[in-house]
Amino acid sequence: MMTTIPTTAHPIAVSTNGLNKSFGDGENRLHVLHDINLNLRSGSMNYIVGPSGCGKTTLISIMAGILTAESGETTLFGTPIHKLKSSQKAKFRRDNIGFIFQQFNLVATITNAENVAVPLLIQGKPHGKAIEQAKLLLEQVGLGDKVNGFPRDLSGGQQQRVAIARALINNPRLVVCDEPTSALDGKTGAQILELLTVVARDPNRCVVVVTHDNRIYKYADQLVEMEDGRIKSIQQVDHSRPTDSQF
Amino acid sequence: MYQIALKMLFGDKAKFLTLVVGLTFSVMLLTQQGSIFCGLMLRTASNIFETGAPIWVVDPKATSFNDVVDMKLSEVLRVRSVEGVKWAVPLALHAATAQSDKGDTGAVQIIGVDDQTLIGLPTGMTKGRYEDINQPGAVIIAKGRSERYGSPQVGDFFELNDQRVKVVGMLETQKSFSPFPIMYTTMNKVQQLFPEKKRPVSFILVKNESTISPEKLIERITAQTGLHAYGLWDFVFLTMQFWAANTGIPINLGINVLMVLIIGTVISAQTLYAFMLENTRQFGTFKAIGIENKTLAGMVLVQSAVVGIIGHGIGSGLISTLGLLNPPNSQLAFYTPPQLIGITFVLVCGFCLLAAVLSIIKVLRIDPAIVFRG
Repeated sequence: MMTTIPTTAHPIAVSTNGLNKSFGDGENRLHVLHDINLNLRSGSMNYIVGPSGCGKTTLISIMAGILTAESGETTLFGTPIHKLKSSQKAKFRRDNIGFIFQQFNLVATITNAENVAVPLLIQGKPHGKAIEQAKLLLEQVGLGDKVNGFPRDLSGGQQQRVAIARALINNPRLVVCDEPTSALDGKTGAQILELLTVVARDPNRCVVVVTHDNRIYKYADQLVEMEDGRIKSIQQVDHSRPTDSQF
Repeated sequence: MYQIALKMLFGDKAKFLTLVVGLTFSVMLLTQQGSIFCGLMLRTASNIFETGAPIWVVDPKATSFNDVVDMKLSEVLRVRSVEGVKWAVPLALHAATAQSDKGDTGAVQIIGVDDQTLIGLPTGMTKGRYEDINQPGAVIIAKGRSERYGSPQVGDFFELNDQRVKVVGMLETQKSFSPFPIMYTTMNKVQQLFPEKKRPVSFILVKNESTISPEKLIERITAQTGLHAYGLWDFVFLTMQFWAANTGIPINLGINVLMVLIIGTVISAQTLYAFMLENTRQFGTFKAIGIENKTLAGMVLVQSAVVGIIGHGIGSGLISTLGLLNPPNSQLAFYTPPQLIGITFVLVCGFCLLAAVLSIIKVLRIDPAIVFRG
């Protein structure tokens, strides 16, 4: 199933060049990323895999403009985000990136619709309009009857669907997922990945998934394997699948 | 996002209650200490309120109701001659030693009022008649602190400066800060009781004509007589300042208030800070999504302000209710003026702001990368 033929039909969405990152000082200094060079294309589902501590979360944090690399360049959709100031990075993330987290990170005390609407509210969209849009998106992820409920009343899979809706509501060009299935059982995890696969069909969108769950590798277009802060291998997966997206 | 901030605040009822209860207790302590201070200060001026006179004229060296320099009776005539004075009457305040027929002895304050008008004699007679004060040797006793004389009754006799006086009435007066019993009599009898005093007048009580404002008349009296004239509240504040400066009340209560302020600040800051810490992951998520720092700071400020307003409302409301339930003239000196509510509101705003700033510093320092940690 896996091949090494690169997909070149879509433009490069994410590009890193010579990324290095360390944590700590002196004897405690830990070099977690070594000279990372990587290109991820739009319309693709990219997996960054490897054992715990190999640097994959650090890498997506830098890709998403949350962490700053010590050296190297990161370009997202033509914007060199390593050159942006902190406030500019925040604005860039707000307008271009959606996040899906391992622990969902939903706010327990607001409704599911409000959780989904958060990125729009951060953009300054009126509350009512944001909620309406959130309700539509919740319907698309199969939670139309849960819009006024609270995350605590949902199963893990349903919470992750709310998180996916939140990540997509501002129509981001990059969706970053950190271990999106590790808190879910196998069946629910597969459902979530199928949903994300649909998300990744959008030719203008790039999805990056960090995982060490090898049960879900089959959903990837490109597998980036890391080890000890270095890219060990990059493998392309060729699938045939529809190209239109419902999101 | 401010709506979201409020829902985050109200959503967890237990945490919200903890925050509000912390603030409420701080406000209650602050308002309670302040109310006691105001109550005590108000009692220092109770005799002034009871006369009902709008203008008080005293010797320029007098510093308060309780620290007067006596004047000659002729000064009353000088004041009466000032244009715009409707009436001007003398009021005497002297100390004496009284001994009851039962043998109880102690210091008393003698207040002498104008013989004709009885202006200066408080209302609230519970036994006897006002006009009986004109009988020879008659005094009216203010109830309250007269128990040291075995709760005297109408008809009882006392010895005052080697002269016998008879109780002809009992008055229910406001509690006074001064511990000495008060006996009211007329100016004529004051002069009989204190024949050695060539200056029997302590105050001149004045009422303005309707054609002139009290303020204007005060200026005129001061300019034309060389005496000092004060409005009712100015004289009240002068007397409060005298007691405040000479009793150490402000320092002693001030230390309490300072302690309450520190405790209130610590409680508020700690509870708000703990609330922010518990929401670190949520705030980190907002930061990862791209919220601006000023919006994040605004959310914390809104949460802090709402807790402060609710805590202040409940705290000051409870204390004000306690004040209303406190019976008049009880031993508890307790008065909660609207200004005190305003002052405690400003203080609460202050320590909520401090707590918010500490929390904002923490929130702004949240590394959004924490959202990727499981």
